[in-house]
Amino acid sequence: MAVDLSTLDSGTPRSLDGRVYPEKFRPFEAFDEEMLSRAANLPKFTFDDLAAELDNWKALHALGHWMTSAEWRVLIERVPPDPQRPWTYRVTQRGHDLLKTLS
Amino acid sequence: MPARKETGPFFGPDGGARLIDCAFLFVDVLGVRAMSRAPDADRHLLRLQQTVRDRLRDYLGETAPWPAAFFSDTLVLASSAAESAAAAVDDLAFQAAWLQFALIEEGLFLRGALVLGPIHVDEILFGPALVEAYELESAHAVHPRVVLSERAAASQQAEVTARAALATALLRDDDGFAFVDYLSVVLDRPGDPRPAVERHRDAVVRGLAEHRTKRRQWEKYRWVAEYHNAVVADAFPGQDGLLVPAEDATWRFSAFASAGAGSG
Repeated sequence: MAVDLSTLDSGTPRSLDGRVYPEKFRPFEAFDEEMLSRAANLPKFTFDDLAAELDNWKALHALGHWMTSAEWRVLIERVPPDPQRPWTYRVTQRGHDLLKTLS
Repeated sequence: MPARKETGPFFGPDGGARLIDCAFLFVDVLGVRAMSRAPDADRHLLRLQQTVRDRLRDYLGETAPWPAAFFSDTLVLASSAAESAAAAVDDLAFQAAWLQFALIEEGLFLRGALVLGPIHVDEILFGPALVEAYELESAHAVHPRVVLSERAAASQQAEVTARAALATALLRDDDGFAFVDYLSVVLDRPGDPRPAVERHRDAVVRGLAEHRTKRRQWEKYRWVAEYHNAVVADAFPGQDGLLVPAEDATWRFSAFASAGAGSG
């Protein structure tokens, strides 16, 4: 885990090496419900797996930045790498909890 | 024989091919021709395939919404601009950044262009965006960088002014071209970026050392060294160990009478 968990509820997460959640990712938080609701149906997913669940270009264009934002906020996390597959993720308990409050 | 019918965004209701407005990325992977002729060409092919298909995403995935093709030493990728031209450019800049970083970690450098315009991407690659991207890449990219066309760069400037949802970093070079600041995607992630920065530094140092006597190629690596040092010095002030050492990226001169003179 690269994020200092004690900073998550502050709204501005910090990494363990002291960096701060980049403000430029805030607008992508508007996609939380759309992205999480689709990701939560997948036991684990790659960038392309989640893209395949999306049905509009607005979300597709935002996907990469949303995933970075969601990693900072520990809504999704990387699973152990498989060298034969692109980076793979899963929704965390925190992500599932947020989705319940959004839907 | 019945007319061939196709579906998808690049085909009209009657199945006829059409151009659509897209952000369009055209990248030339440097050194592929030499690798293709090398005795260990299989190894290079595997390295290239793994980087393009098994890192951030499978850039050549057949069902992906981003139409793509790889031929010779060129990869092209499109993103529909129907919803938002600015967001489409930002999307491809992000994907270009990860592709560029992943390839460099494998010692593969690229040069490219990102433009906005009408294009058809299927078995046939056709349209003014292709022509513009090819011309921009071959005439103006020069260094291992992905430059944006004026229209693509203007879309980002307008959106930055409007504080819209764009996040891929761009930089402007001395010659006025905006280009993809690919190290930013590594620096933006929550994981400690220093190991990745060190791998990037080491790839650049290797490139500089291997091409020390091939000036045209060496200058390309030197540009990357300058870029690395500018970005990393800003992100990690005082951590000079993360920088490309100056002695690796500067010209060396020797006395006229020393051995190894290249010309009479």
